[in-house]
Amino acid sequence: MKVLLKIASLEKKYNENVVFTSLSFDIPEKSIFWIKGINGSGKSTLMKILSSQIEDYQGDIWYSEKNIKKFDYKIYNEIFYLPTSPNLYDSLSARENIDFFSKIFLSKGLNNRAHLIDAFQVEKHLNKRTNELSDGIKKKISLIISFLINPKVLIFDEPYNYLDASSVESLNRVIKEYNDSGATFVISDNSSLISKLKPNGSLGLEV
Amino acid sequence: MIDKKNFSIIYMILEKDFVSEFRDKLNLMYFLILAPTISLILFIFNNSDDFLYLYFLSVLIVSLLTNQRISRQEISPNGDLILINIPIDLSIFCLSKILFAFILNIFINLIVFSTFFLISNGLFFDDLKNFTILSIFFSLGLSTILTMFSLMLERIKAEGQFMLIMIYPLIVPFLILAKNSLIEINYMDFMEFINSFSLQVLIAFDILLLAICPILFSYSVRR
Repeated sequence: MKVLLKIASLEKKYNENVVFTSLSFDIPEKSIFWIKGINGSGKSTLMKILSSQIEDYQGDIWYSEKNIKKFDYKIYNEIFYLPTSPNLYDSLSARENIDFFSKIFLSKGLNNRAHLIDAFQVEKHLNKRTNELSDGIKKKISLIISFLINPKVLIFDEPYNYLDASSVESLNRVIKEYNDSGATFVISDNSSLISKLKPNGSLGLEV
Repeated sequence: MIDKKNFSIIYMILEKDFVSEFRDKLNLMYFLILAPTISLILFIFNNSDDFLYLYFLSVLIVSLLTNQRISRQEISPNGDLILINIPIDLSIFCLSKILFAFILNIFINLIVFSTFFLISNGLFFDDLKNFTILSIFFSLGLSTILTMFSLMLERIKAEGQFMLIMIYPLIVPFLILAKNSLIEINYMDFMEFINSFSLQVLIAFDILLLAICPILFSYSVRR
């Protein structure tokens, strides 16, 4: 498999606290890559670095053989990061959030909208305001938005948090569909629910 | 560079802000109470009968107190900017927030104006056109500076408190320029006022702020 993301000698410190050091690994194209580690091991920090949310680090990250720092904000067309807690606008309805983010990200997968709404069973919640929704529904709306944006790499930080058993199955099914059609996934998960997807690679972080 | 795509992004963010505003009355109701309160406090506790000065001072204080509210809407519970990973230059995002703050600042002006109109028993200035022009450019500069710094403050929190010292080189010259124009507002006719050095410098400074602040914001957030 061709390497899509190459991480070389990555090191991150917060003041004097070393989060990780000398981290080198490859993420193949069209793969599902699992990042494991206990709380505080630096999973979220690593994912934020991979998605250019954090640029203050040592080492290099190459995306399609080009340093991701060279892409500037254009990297966000290629890599999308979904944090553990959904980032939505509370005053807007679920539908308005989906529309707003789809438009602003110039989403490439809009024809899948009905399919995703159906897969995550959120139809009856679409007209409710986000601040009236449960954490689980908010998570599903955020996941739908990520799939609609449909970039080459999707980085999900603890995507199974807040989801019930049937939603976990739906999410795994949709991840598999998108992976089959060429998307690369980098997923952090402590619950091992990802293992059903048979990840192509994994990385364990230690404190 | 602002091309057609960036214009549509600005329009989308503004549309989202107005939908949120009219649905939740996040800021307007707050202004409606705060603006007359501040105006009345200044009127009662300040012995000056120069309503024009008190008017701009009220607008300044209400804007200082309210601008943070506008920016807070863009921050997620975990402290990140909700739109941190949009594939556009963040200066475009900052520009749209400045426009939104400027429009809300016009409302602040209207509320403060109504209050002063009532407490001064009529118009408290001699030339409406001069007053309007100065109010617009005063609000534009104020919205630009305060939006950038309130967005930065929300984003960087305690990590970059020294960056806030940067507000002084921007806001102090702006306030001095606005005060100089204020002195001339009542004894110049419209054409004289438009051509006056202090107003022209104020306009130039507004344009400079409008160019610098979004770039500074984009740079500070993504670096």
